[in-house]
Amino acid sequence: MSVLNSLSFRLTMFYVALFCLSVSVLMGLYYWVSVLEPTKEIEAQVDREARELAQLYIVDGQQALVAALQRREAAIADRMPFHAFIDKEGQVVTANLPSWPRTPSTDWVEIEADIYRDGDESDHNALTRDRVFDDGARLLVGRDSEDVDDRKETVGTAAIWLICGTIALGIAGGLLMSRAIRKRIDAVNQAARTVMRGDLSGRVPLRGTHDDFDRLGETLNLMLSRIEELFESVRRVSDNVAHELRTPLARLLVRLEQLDADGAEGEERQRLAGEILAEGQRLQRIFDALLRISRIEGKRHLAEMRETDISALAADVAELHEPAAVSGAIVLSTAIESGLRAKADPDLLFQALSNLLDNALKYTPSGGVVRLSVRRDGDGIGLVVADNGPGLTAEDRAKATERFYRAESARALPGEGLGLSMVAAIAGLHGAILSLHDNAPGLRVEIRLSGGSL
Amino acid sequence: MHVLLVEDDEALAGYIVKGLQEAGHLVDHRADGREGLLQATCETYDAIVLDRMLPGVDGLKILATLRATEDDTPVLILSALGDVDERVKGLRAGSDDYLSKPFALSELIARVEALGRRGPVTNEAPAALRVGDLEIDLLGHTVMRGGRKIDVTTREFRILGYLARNAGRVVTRSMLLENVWDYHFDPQTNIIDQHISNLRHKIEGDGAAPLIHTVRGMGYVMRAEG
Repeated sequence: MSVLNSLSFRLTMFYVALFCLSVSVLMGLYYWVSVLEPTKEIEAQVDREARELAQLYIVDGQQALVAALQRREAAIADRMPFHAFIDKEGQVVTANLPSWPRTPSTDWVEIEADIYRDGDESDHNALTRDRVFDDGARLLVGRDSEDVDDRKETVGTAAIWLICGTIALGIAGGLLMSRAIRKRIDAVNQAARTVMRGDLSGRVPLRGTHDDFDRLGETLNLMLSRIEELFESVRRVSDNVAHELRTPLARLLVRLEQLDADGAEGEERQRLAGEILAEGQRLQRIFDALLRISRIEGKRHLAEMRETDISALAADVAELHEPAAVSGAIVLSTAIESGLRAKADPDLLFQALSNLLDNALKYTPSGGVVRLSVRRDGDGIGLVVADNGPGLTAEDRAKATERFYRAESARALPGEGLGLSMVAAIAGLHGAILSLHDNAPGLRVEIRLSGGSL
Repeated sequence: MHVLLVEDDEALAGYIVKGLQEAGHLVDHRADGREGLLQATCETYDAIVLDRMLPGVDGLKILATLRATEDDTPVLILSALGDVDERVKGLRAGSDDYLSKPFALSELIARVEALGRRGPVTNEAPAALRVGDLEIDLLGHTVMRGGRKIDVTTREFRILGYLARNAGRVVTRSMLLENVWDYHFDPQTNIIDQHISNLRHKIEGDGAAPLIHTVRGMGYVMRAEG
């Protein structure tokens, strides 16, 4: 990318042009006020005088004119008067102009009329009207316009210098600025390319000046961190998926091989087919659960959020699990405050509570107690499933919601390690807070549904 | 039963046709949405199995067209978009059931058979259901077995009712969950089995003949043996 193509340089050039334009307009205005207007005034004055003096010559004759010219010269005035009168014979009668053009002109004439007095030279410029009478006499009448001419010259020179200066400074500044900006942008490009090459740890270097580029860099870095995090978790999940699916697949294959072997007949065949079916269904369940979790997590699941009687829903969940509790000789006790309502997806919330109760009943030994309580909690609703089983260590509790994560103590029991991941995803979709606590002994899981209409 | 299958996946369609035929049903198959719609309007079916994603036409559009002509043949939607929200969308569009791919053939057959009997004729609800010597009084909410009154919970009553209405047909666990509990969710464990086990205990105790039979890999069927 050449500097000339850079946006910042083009912007600078645009501003240089704008500055030049405004300088020209200002100079023009100044020229108009300080040069054109005074010149017009002088011309008007000289015109008036020339007309009067000419009239005097025509009516009263040469004597009167010469007297008038001498009076005019002697009078004190802002602008020094200049004149020259040449009679019809071509004799200079009176003049204080040092020279004048040989041939008369009908236009304005500027005549240099420097005056030497006591050895000093003072510059003067006479703006002069030239008039030739019918009898051949010639009268030149003028006034000093030296100051106006000086200003005219100054304005011209200043305008050239100002515009040249503006352009030079603008180009230099533009080059410097675009180089500085390009350096910052290159740093961002560099980071992006590093990430594109597959190194997700690439970051935009920050200067710590908290300027616009630093803030942009910060945002980009946050985005990259989030992407890296998500990517990491996707990688972990897919590793886990591959790993977890190997076991049921292996079992499935072993049974298929047994079925394929000639020995399997009648009852044996039936049993194997049943086991194969069960393994297949287990695999399907895992896939379904994974898909649902990721859909719910990715908010691609359009939840049917509606006003739901949470109390009734919790009672339904408890009722569904009651027989399982009885068969496991576990006391399932409920403490459900009635009439609690909130916006929720009933199917999903049912799923979440059902998973929690499933887990609690599965891990609590015979004679244990599982407790489901639902009560108002501030401006929300707290749904708690607590048991007095073996519980989880703090480390296990922190990882329990990861897909396929199973505590060491739970490895022996059936399950895929997806139940709590699903609960976490559902809680997330509801904007609820899921927390796992030590129930000393046992585990206490709480879903806190916030706000809504209670 | 006379079933129309509209499914563009040849392999899957062949598999379904074979399965339904083996279960004793007459099956017509169309691979194209428009042809399927035409076929559905030309002939009367007991049930239609409709794929959600068809070349050219969305299965839901066919369903909507069908319903607009006041054709209320039971429709089961098959879909690879397997999630609750898609299911809700399907049911709202007027389908009677929804099954997401991949599915077990047994689940599909069980559901199609349940649909067929739900059929357009069941306008008046019977006051009582009877399977063998089991009598379910739907108005009085009482259950009698061989003249002896059996105490059941409200939920157990609903399970019995659903099984009895589908007597002789397989009812899968997820069908029970959807129809008896009114929640659509995936139980982590075979939680239904415990309820069935309790129910069996109540109605089949004292050496009475078994009524609720487990069909391995599929679900349950209520049938009076012999």
